[in-house]
Amino acid sequence: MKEYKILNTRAPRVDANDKVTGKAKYTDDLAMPGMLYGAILHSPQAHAKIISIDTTAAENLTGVFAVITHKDAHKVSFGVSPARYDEYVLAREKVRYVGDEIAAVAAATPEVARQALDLIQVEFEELDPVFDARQAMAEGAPELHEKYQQNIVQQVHWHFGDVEAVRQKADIIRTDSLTSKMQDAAFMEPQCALANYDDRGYLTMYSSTQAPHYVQRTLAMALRIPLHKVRVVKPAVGGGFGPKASCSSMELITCLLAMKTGKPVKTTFDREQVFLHSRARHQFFHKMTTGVQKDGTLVFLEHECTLDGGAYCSFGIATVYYAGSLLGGPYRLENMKYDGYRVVTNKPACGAQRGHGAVIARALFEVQLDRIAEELNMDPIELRLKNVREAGETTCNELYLSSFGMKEALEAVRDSAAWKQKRKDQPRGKGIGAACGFFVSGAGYPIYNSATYHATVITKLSEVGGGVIVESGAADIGQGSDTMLAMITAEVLGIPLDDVKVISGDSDLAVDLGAYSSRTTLMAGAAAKEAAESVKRQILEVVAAKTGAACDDLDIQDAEIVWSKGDLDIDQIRHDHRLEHRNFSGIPLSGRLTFGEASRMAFLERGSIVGTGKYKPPVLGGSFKGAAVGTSPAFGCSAQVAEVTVDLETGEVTVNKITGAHDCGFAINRTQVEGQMEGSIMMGMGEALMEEIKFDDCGRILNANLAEYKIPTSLDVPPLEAIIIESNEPNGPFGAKEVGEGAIMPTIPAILNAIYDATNVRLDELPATPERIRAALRLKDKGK
Amino acid sequence: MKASNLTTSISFFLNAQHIKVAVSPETTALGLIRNELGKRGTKESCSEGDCGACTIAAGELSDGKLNYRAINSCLWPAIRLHGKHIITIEGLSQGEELNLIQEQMLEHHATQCGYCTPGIIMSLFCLFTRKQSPNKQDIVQALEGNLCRCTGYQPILSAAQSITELLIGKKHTNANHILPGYVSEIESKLVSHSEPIKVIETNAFQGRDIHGYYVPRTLEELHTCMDKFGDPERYRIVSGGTDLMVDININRNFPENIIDISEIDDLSAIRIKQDSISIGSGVTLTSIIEHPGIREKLPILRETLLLVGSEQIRNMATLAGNIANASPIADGVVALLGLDADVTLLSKNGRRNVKLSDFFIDYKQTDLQTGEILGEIHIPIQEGFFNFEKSSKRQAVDIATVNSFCYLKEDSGLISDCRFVFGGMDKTVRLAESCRPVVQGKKLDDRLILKCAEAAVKEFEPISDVRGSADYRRQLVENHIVKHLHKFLSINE
Ligand SMILES: Cc1cc2nc3c(=O)[nH]c(=O)nc-3n(C[C@H](O)[C@H](O)[C@H](O)COP(=O)(O)OP(=O)(O)OC[C@H]3O[C@@H](n4cnc5c(N)ncnc54)[C@H](O)[C@@H]3O)c2cc1C
Ligand code: FES
Ligand code: FES
Repeated sequence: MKEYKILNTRAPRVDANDKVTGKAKYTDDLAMPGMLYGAILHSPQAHAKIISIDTTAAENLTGVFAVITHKDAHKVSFGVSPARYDEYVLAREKVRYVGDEIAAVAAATPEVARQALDLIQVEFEELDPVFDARQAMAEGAPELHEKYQQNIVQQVHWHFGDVEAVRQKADIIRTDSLTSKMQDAAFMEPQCALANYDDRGYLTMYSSTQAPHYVQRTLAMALRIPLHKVRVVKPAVGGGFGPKASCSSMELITCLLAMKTGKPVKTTFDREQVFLHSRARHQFFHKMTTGVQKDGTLVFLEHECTLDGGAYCSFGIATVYYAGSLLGGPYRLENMKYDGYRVVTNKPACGAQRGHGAVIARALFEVQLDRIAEELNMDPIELRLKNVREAGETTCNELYLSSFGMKEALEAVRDSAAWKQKRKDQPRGKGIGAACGFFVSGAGYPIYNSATYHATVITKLSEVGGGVIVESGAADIGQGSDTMLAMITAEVLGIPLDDVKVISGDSDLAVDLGAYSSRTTLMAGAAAKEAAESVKRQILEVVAAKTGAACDDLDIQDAEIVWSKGDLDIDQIRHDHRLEHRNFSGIPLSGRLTFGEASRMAFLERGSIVGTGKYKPPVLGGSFKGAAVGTSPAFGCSAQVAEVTVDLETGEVTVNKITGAHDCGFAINRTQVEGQMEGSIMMGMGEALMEEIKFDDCGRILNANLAEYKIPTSLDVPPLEAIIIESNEPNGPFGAKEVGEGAIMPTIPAILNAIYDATNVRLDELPATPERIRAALRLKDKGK
Repeated sequence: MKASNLTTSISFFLNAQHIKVAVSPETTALGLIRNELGKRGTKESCSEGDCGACTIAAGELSDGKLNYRAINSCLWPAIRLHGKHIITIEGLSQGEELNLIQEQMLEHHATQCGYCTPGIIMSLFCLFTRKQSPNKQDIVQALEGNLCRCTGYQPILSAAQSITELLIGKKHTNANHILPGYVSEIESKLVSHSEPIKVIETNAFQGRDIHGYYVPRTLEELHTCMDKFGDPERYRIVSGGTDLMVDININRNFPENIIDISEIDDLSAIRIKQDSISIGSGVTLTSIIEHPGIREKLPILRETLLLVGSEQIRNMATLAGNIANASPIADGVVALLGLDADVTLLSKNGRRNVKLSDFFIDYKQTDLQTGEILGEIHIPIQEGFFNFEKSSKRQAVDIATVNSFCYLKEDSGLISDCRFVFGGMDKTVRLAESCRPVVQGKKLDDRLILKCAEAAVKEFEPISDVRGSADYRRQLVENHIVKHLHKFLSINE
């Protein structure tokens, strides 16, 4: 591997100082003069016709500046996939879940806004609700949307290879199922938006979003404002993990209130609203039938999945496709049949969450592999090793693996966790389990049908010399993309990280589709690389012209211009530079021409030096319906081994250790790669063991708070070992590809497999709470 | 106690600054610090004590030195800031120079999105002001009330570990200090600090805000205050506030008036006597946990209380609040019933003692009469075996599904006395009466353990809720009995 100065190090994050000092500004930390506070009236009904809305009393309350209902909004539907726009800014005609937005208020204080909400009278005519996805699909079930027959938003029927033709070849055929529960991303920063609509008709919204670009488009479309007059700025964002990747009603409402009042308006969700808005993990009902040969060779997979996605489509189309397509890897599986149904019910709408669509499918498949290994009397890791694909192969659903360190990852966790020995020697109650994962490194296509670039970057030399400014639309939501952009730029330009300043997450600066599908490092990183290379070339061209050296013989190293043929004659240049900077500090007196001097010279010669970079994936994927979802310029893969102790009396699980290895292609920043792995593993652990949204009979969430919706605390964290595998991805900048989501894939099944190893009981419902494990143990005892 | 309209201002130190500001009764410390004083480093994420994003360090003088405790500022009425030294994230770095904790958090990549970071740093700050070399358990305990969704905690724990090492090794980094330089100055200023606040009133009571906030300093003032309102519907007592403030913030149940008993000296003592321990109703759980006499004479109480909430919650909450709140699952109540505690109820007419087992009447209903408060808790010092069990989904900051306490006394190999208490199984925490006849006077063995468990299971008719089904709760009762008794056997072997 090439030697790097900046890349592949453990450089501190560029935003760390602001974050440890409390200076980082999140949307709710912002305020504007004359700012009002927005509040939203949510539906108390799960399914009802709106007969009337009376806002008179609310409007008359002192301190209230505006009360809006659907009447104040254009009748324009929006959502995520244009083909399935099914939401309105505020509910029209009917509400579809407890939490649906009915009306909103802008007032002088948050308290007055809340009081005004209490004064709004809504008359409903109750409709029969449906809360179960399978019931929603049944004949005669209440219909949520006219356009979704049987409440099915999207069906997928895929068949790759020929399952029927090979069925006979399988020696063992197993069918298993797994059901999960809706889950919440539980990011720490509740959503917030601050909108300002100025006299020229320009709308600016600061928002805790993962995807300024899509939000910008949605605002313009739904509010009927020219696109170029809408600016979306993402301040520091306190985590997103998916739910913040699409435009929300709250963002639209806040803008509408700002437009109506002519004043800046800020709306901040409380924790309950975060749960109500949701757009987090769907509920999945998976059933898989897998055939294998005696020697462990996978023959076919038949997979059925129903997804309960709540009241609206949101990301649902992508989710149902991902749930099928991402089982195309990491194993050699030539025959795969998939039938998927994305269904609406009267619950909060689900969307994308870390490991979009694929997490529970992966969990069941990896659990099933373990069951097969048991039947074959084979070591589960050996079974996997026998089937894993390698770089250069294409999956049955036409996903091309340009780099693929799956085998290396599996071997790394096997050896590091002392798998073989622990697998043999542990007493009942203790267990060890393994699993693999596979994920895209950036969606191959944008959400709307377009030939758009997925990322552009503008890199500019500061005219006074020395500094570099990177402008990007990329959304750093905590995953560290600003640091990645700075590191790539500094490396290319041969300058210290400190001299690069990144401005990002602003739709006025550049285009970036956002922080989702683990795309940012590969795509924005590639654009940043190209932009920096352009800047570098421009500087060196000027230096070459000035000094007579050939451009190809020049380079920048340690912020100095290096000529491979000796020392450049820079006396005149330096003299001029010093003259220009009399009394300035830090002006070089001797030594090589500095980057600062060269930058200044380039400006004097050519004006502002700006380099641009862009990235768009090549045309990817097959020609079958839905082939676009799952495509990616590269694929990440990972393996994990989980070690657990199960209390056989109470069913409580303690995770003792997780060893994970992830192929990220190339680690731009090693600690950040480990950080993504560790964060993913802990989230996966929470989802495996405790996270579950619970509803009452009326569709109300029973645990819309962080007290009863449990996520892991520092007490739950086991030792985590993160092993980085670098397979050098040809399509990624410097060989880099994803780590943000792929690393969560193996966690749930690794833990489930370890629980089985400890107890001999299998669960077909997640999360694996003490109550469920205990019930399974009891069932097993009874069976004896 | 004079009424005034919003003019009462509180006076405290915020970082290096002296603050004098008017507050209204319903303003929380978080609201004041973030919105009115513009210190936006302290974050809000849940408003009910679950996440720790709003953690601040609250310093009080003890023996002339400031002692800092981590507090969930979302659960503190702003008025409680009065007379304190508050340190927020903004108060740690000085100029460009980071505090050692900040520096190590940065170096270890212990911040990703950064939303949890100020709270985490303040929790660590409070830890390191008290302990130079905390062990892993101390660190985890200090952080259990701070959620982080991004990092998986590992880098935060490594940062804490390396701070410890740097402090022990007295190695110099650019930022080798924990306490900011201005602290000593504030210590001296606080000594001569302003008058205590007694009341904050507004005229604006509309059921959406709080009319008056009263801070009696003596029992006499307290009784006068309660008398003034007469009708107990018109006020709520607040002690630690960890139950009451959640009710206000989340359920928006605004009491007309709040009477804050945390400043009454007569209620703030722990008294260790020959055969019993008395704990005043104003004593925080942390003070109980750290009290040397309790550690020595009643270690089980300490162990139990360490499982309540988080460090921040324990720094605020009181045992009296745990009892008076009358939750059927309160950890403290389970232990106290098992320890056969009784309580002193105070009113202007005098005092009466009630056995805790008689105190709870029905779901969230107690024997407290109009004009009465819970004044003191008395726990007899007894010989015997004590054990507390708590089943919850995660290890910290988790209300139990079922919790239980077991007391056993043995005489020449036979059980001579016992108490089994269960929470989460009925409308109140209560004794499992049917266990006693099973084990009393018998020698404990596996068969008897099963019989005892069977008896306990039969005794309860639990309900199903978010925390667990009725069936699961029954199974837990059985498990708990088995655990208690196995522990007893293993100790007595
Ligand atoms: C995040 C979080 C986690 C928690 N975890 C746990 C847990 O693990 N286990 C557990 O048992 N509890 C837990 N709790 C509940 C709570 O912290 C405890 O019940 C605590 O002991 C209450 O004490 P307090 O002083 O804060 O009560 P307060 O909120 O001050 O008062 C509670 C109630 O008692 C009344 N009251 C208080 N003092 C008196 C008095 N002297 N006389 C008469 N009435 C009085 C008040 O009017 C109020 O109705 C948790 C709470 C939170 C917010
Ligand atoms: S905001 Fe979560 S504990 Fe205060
Ligand atoms: S860094 Fe994001 S929650 Fe901790």
